[in-house]
Amino acid sequence: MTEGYAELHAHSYFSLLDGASSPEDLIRTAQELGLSAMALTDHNSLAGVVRFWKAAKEKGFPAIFGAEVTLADEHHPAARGVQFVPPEPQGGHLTLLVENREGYASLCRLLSAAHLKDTPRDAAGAMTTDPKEWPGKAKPAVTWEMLEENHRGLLALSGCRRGPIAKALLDRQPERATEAAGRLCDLLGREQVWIELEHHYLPEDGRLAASLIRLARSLNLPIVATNNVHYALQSGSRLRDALLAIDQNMTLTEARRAGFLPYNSNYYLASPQEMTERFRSLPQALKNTLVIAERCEFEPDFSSRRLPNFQVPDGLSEFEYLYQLCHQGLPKRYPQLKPAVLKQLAHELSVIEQAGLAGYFLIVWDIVRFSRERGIRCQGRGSAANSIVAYLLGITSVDPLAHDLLFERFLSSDRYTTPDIDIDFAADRREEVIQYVYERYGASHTAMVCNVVTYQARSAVRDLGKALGFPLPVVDRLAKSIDWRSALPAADQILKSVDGEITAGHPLGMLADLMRQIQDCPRHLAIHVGGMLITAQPLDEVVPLERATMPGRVVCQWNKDSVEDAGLIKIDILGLRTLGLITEALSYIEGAQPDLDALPLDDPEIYKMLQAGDTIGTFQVESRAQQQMLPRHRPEKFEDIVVEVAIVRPGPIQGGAVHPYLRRRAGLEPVTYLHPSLEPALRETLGVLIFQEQVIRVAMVASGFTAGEADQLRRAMSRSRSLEAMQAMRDRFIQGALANGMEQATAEETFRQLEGFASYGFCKSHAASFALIAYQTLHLKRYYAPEFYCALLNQQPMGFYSTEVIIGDAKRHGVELLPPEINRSDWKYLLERTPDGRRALRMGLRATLGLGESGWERILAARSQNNFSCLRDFCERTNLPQSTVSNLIRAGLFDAFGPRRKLLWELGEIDYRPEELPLVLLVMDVHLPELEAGEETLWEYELLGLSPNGQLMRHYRPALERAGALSTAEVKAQPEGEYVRLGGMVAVKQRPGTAKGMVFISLEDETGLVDVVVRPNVYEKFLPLLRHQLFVLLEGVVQRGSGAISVLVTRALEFRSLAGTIGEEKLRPPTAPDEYSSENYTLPR
Amino acid sequence: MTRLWKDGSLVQVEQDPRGRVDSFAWNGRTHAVEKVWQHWQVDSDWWTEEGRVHRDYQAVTTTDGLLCVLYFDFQDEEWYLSKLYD
Repeated sequence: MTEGYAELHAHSYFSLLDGASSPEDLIRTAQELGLSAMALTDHNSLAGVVRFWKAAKEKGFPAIFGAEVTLADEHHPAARGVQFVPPEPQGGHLTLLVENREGYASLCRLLSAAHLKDTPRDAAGAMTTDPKEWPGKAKPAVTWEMLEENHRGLLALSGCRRGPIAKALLDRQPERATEAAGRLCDLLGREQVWIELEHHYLPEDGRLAASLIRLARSLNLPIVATNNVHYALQSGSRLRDALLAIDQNMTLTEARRAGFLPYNSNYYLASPQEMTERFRSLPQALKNTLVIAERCEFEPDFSSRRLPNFQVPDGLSEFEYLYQLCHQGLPKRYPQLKPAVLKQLAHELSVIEQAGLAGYFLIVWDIVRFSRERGIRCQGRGSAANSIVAYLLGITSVDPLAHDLLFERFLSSDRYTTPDIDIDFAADRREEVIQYVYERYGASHTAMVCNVVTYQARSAVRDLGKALGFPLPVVDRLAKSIDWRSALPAADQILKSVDGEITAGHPLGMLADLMRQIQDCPRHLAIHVGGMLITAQPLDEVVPLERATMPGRVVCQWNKDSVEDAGLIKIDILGLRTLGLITEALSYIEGAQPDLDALPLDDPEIYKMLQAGDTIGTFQVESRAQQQMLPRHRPEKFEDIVVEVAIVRPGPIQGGAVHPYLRRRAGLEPVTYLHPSLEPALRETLGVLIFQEQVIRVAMVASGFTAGEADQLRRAMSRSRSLEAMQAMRDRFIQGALANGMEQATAEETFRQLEGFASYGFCKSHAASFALIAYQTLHLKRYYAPEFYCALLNQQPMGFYSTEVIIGDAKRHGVELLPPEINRSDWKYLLERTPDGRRALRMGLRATLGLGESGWERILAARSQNNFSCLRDFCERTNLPQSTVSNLIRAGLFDAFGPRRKLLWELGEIDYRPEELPLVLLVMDVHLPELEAGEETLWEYELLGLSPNGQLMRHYRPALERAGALSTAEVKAQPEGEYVRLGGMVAVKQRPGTAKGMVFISLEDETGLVDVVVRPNVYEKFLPLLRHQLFVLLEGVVQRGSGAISVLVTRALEFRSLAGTIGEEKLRPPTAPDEYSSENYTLPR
Repeated sequence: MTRLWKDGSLVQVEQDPRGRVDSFAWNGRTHAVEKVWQHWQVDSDWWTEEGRVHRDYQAVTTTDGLLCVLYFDFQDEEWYLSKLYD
C-alpha cells in the first residue's frame, strides 16, 4: 500500500549553485506527483521562500518553510584558525523547519546571525565602512550558541550525509553521533528532533540507515524519510552537476574526481509510491512526514505592522498629520483652488486612511524633506506621480490633475497591496539619504533589498563551457559570438552554428541543453539599485540579512518582487546623475538661477529643439531612437514629450503602436477604436495603447473591472504568471466585455493587445515625471549651454553618448573647448572666460590616462604656490614619474612650453630624482622632425579619449574624398533615395532585441553625426567589416522619413584600403560592444 | 582471486517484482541469488567523450557460493557481471 508522503527537505535554485529548479517547478511537480506537502529548505537562505509560498498558495498546496543550515564545525581546521584547508565544506548540515510564527522569526534571526558572523564593528556597534576591514560576502556558519539563542518554534531533522550525526556514523564514530543527537535534543527539546533517513541508492545507504535507526531507537527519537531534493525532475541532475562544478571553479571531470558530484541522479522529487518502495520496511518514516507537515501548518503574515510608526506632533494621529501637510501644500501647488482638487484629495486621503498607509507617505515625505533641506535634488518617479497627495507633499513634481493621471494605477480602494514610491536623488549625494534612513529607523529595521542576479546568455556560456571542459579561448570565442541576452535563443544560435547533425554527446549540444535549463537560474545576490526595506518588526525576524560586498552595507535575502509579494513596503532611493547634472549646471550660472521647478512648459524654443532632434545630452529624449522619432513626432506641447518618453520603448514598438500613432497624428490614417467603449480610455493617444494606465482604463470600461481588479490584470500581464492564472484572467475579461456588448472577436483582440503591451509599457505618471526632467535639461541646454555642457561632462559616464560626441555637440552649439593646460586645467572640466567674453570649456585632467587623483593632488599642491614656468620646473616640483609626465606632454598639457616632440626629448635630459639636488645637464640642441599628420591627434585619443583640437576623421578626409565618400553633413543634405558612400567613426551601435536583427549605428565625423541602418542580411554579409570596427566605410540609400534622416546601408567596404591609415590601428579596438544592448561604446581609454 | 570485467560480462537476469536480482545465467549456468547485500546506482560522466555511465548495481551472493556484483545498464538495457569474488 502506498503511504502518503510530504517532502521535508527540498532545495530550489536559491540554494545557489546547488539546486536546479525554481520554487514554482518544485511546487508544480510535487502536486502532480501527489505529495501531501513540501518544505523548501535552501542552504542558509529564505531567498526563494516568498515565491515558494505564493506558488503553493496559487495551487492550494501546503507549503512548509525551512532551511538547511551549515553548522560551524569546531573540529574543522578552519575553526581552529588554520588558514589552508582542503577544499571540503566546512561544518555539517542540519535541516530546520518552521513550526509556527515564532519559528519563522527564529530561523530569520539564526540565518542573519550566521551570515553576519564576524562582521567588524566600531565601539558603538556600527558596522565598519572601511573597505580594508570589511570581509564582504562570506560562507555562513551556524554555531551551537546561535542555535541555542534562536531555536524556538523550529523542528530539526538530523540532516543529510553531511549532517553531524550521519557523518559521524559514516565515519564509524557512533559515540560522536550520539553526542551530536543529544546536543540537538538538549537545545531544541526532544519532541522537536527527528532522525532523517535518505535513500538515494548510494553504496552505503543501507549501512547508514541501519546505524541511524539504531541510534534513533537508543535515544527514543522518531525517524523521518526525506529525499534531499535538488531538482524537480531527474533530468535536472545534469544542470545541478554543472552548477556544483561551477561553484568549485572546476570542470565537471575535476569536480567528479574531487568528490564534489553526487554518485547518481536520484535527488529528484520522488512520488509517494517510489518513497514507499524505498522505505518499504520503515512505513513510520513516511507517516512521520505527514505528522511533521501537520505540525508545520503555518501561514505567514509578513504585512502585519509592516511599517514603523512615524513620529508626529503631539495630539495628532499619523493620518491627521498627513491631512494637515497636504492642506498646507495646497496654496503652493494650486494657487487657484478648484473643487476638483479638493475632491481628488479627499478621495485619495480616504483610500490612504483605509489602507493604513498614512505613515508610509509620512516616511517618504520626511526623506524628501531631509533631502531638500540639504540641497540634494530629488523627484519622485513611477506610479506615485499619479497621486495628488504625493504632489502636495512635494514627493512628486507633476500635477496629476493637469495631466489626467490615474490614481488607481498607484493605489485603489479595493486593492490594498503595497504601493511603490520611487524617488530619484542626485546620484552623487544619494548615499547621504540612505544613511539618513538608516539613522532614522535604525539598522535593525532597515536594509537594502537584494537583486537576484540570474544567468544570461554570456554568463551561461562562460560558466557552463568551462564546466564542460571547453578550452578557455573556445569559451571566450563562443561567448563573444552570442547575439542574445537571454540564454534560450542563444542556445538555438549555438546549435545553428554547428554544421551537420548534433549527436547526443556533442559538446555543443550538451552546452545548448544546459543553457536552456539554466535560464533564470540565480548566480548570486547583489544589492538592488535603490530599494530600501523598512519594517516595524526587527528586520531579522522578517527576512534574513546578509553582508553585501560594499563595506558597511547589509542586504536582505528578498528581491523587490518578493518584498512586494510579502506585502512589505520598500522605498526606492535611486541615484540619477541627471539630477546631479542639473544641480551642478545651476551652480555655474552667474547671477539669478532659473527656478526649474516653476518653468512654463510651453516654451516654443524647447519644442523647436525637440522637433529638430537636437537633444544630445538631455534626459530621456537623447537616444538615437528618440532622435529618429522626434522629427516625425514633432512635439508641440508637454503632453507630447510625455508620449515621446513613453513611446520609444519595447512595449509600444513590439505592440506595433508607434507607426499607427505617428500616422494618425500626421492625419495619414483615421483615428479608430476596436470598440466605441474604448474611446474615453484611448482618446488622448489617438486610439493607440501607449500608457500602462490605459490597460487599467480599458479593462474598466470594456469589461467592468473594478480599478483594483484592472490593476491586478495589468500586474498579472506585466509579470510572468502561470498559464492557468492568465487564462482565468482572460476568461473574466472576455465575459465582462461580452456582457458590455462587445463582439467575441473584438474582446479577444482587445485582450491580445493589452497582453502584448503590458509587459513593457511605461506608466504615464512615470513618463510625465521623466518628461519634466527632460524639459529642464532642454531648458539648460538651450539657455545655459556652457554651464550645461560643463556639468554634463563632469557627470560622465551617463546617458547615451561618449564624451567625444558630447563635445562635438557642444562645439556645434557654439561652446568652445579649450585643451587641457597644465597651468589652467582643474581635475574636472571648468568654465573659462575667453577674450571675447564668452564662456568656454576647459578640459580637465581627470581624463588623462595614467595620472590618477594622487598625481593630480601633487600637481595642485605644487601649482597652488606658483604656476609652472617650464617642464623642468614641473618635474622638479611634482616629482611625478617620467612615464606620467611623458603622457602629459603627449596629451598636449605642456604645449605652452614648446612642441611636444622637443619636450619629450627634453624630459629625457632632466634628472629630478626625489630627495637629491637637481643635476643640471646640458640639453643638446637637436633638430627634431615635425610630428606626422594625425600623430598628435592619435596621442590625444590614446591619452585623453578624444582630441580637443578636432575629430579624428578630419585626417582621413582627403582620402575619403578621393574614395568618393561624403561627410555626414553632406549626406544630410542629400535628397531622399540618393545613393551615397560615407565613412566615419562608430559613435553608437545598437542591435535592440525588439528590432528583428536590425543594427543601428550613429556614425560621427568632424562635421557631425548621422544615423545608419543595417538590415540583418546586410549585416551578416559584411560582418567582418561592421562588427568590432571603429571605422567603417559604407554605401547606402538616404532616407528622409518625415524629417528624420538616415542611411539604409546596402554595402560595406574595407575602410583602410580606401581611406588609408594614419596609424589609428595603434588604438585598441572598441571594447566588446554589446551589439544587442542599448549601451553605447566609446573609444577605449 | 577477484575477477573484474571493465565493461562487464553480459548475463541473463531474472528479477523479483521489486527489481532485485533473483537469478542470473552466466557461462551457460544459472545461479540463484541467495541475498542482495547492497544495491546502488551510478549516473556519472555524461559530459565525457566516453559517454555516460548510468547503472543499477547489486552485490549478491548466490546459493552456490559466489559473491558477485551485477549491474543493469540503463542505456543499453542489459545486465552485466561486473565483479566476481573468489
